[in-house]
Amino acid sequence: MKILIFILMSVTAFAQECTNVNYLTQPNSPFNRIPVADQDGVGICYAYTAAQLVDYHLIRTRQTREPVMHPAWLALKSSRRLLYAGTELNAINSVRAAGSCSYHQVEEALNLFGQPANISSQPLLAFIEAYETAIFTESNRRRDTITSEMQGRAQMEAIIATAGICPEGVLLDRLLPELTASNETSVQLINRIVRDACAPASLQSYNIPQPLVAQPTDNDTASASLDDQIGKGPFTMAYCATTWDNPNFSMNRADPGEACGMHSSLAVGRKKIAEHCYMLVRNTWGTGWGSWNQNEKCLCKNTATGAWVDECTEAVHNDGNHTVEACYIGMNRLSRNVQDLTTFNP
Amino acid sequence: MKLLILFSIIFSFETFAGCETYTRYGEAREICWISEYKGYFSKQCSDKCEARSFLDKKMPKPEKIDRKGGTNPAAQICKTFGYTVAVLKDPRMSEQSFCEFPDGSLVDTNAVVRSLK
Repeated sequence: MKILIFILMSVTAFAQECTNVNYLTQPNSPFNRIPVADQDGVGICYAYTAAQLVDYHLIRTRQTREPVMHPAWLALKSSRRLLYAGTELNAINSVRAAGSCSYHQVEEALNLFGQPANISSQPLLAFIEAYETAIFTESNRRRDTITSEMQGRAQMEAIIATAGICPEGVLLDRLLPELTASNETSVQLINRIVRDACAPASLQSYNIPQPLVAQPTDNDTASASLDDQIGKGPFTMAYCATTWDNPNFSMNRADPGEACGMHSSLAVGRKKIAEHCYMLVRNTWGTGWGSWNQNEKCLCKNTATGAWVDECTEAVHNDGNHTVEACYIGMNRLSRNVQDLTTFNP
Repeated sequence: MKLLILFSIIFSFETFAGCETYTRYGEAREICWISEYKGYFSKQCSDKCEARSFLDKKMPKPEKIDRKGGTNPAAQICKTFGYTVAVLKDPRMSEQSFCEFPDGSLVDTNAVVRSLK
């Protein structure tokens, strides 16, 4: 009993200390080789963060020198239909089971498919996401009927407009004939194209540990989980992105709902700032200053010298000479909005 | 006269500086910081371009944007105005989304958001 109390007190004391952890700036950090991503309008945040976590592990364990995971590969391998409805756990497990093509091979295959329509990988993924979502709402009807109707253009052009891509509808000419001929979902079609482009010899298997998922049931256990995990290494977390815009927002754990804006990011550090504990979060919304981080303290990098600037603020660093690499968010605020955490079994 | 030229050079450097070569689908694009807007633009915007004109309009912020799947809100806002989004890689291979206008001009999506009323 005494031992148990001692352990509990030690854990509590450690959490209260909020010791400084930073996996971005530590010497020879694998993150030096993993660029900041911008997922644009493609709703596969879980695949972006899972890819970065796996790349971090592969570089740290010297299985590769450069990042190899393409988010599209993870999303296509772990989804059958709706790309955005995936999880970090499934994405990591899919690449553990199937291995992976290199980032460049996947990118090349996607670009090659879209090339006749001058479409690159991200608009292509945004398109099939919008396409499948539209079909999903009419699931009581035959897929081939809907697809052939869409060749009449009116409905499909509305989808294209909604997705904000390819206003000329050129992608439609590229994608629809193949979908009609194969009767596959567009996710299956693109998955097949990427897989075919990746010769078996270039499909790499990696030693990736079993991912573990913590699902806090309340704010206290969430706080303890965040503290515990960051001491072991970076991790992905599913949380309400609305907290960036509205610091007072708290997730309804029973039903996060649309207002939560469920998102996935990487937790990459922890620090005490002005007597409060903060987590350092690496997002997938590019390297700039947006509405989401304009009031936050962040970790910036000088584009000319590569020097880190910690606790940078918008007033000082929105000057064209720095990129935003990650931003701090209060531990309490994050605890109220985090749903689950995924990391590797150490 | 020399002083006037010197001031012109300094002024132009302040408003349009820090160009870097980004890539888009492997193609090089010169992207420059314009301090007047606190944003990154394609080089053609050193003079007039649709991207600058759009920011000058100071449009109202859209009431609602689609954030399903954790999409980048700034990129989504660009799309609600009917423009396409292009993701470019900077020289360090990090990505940043840009709003693309019919004349081919680009401005980073965060600058678009900051310009809204």
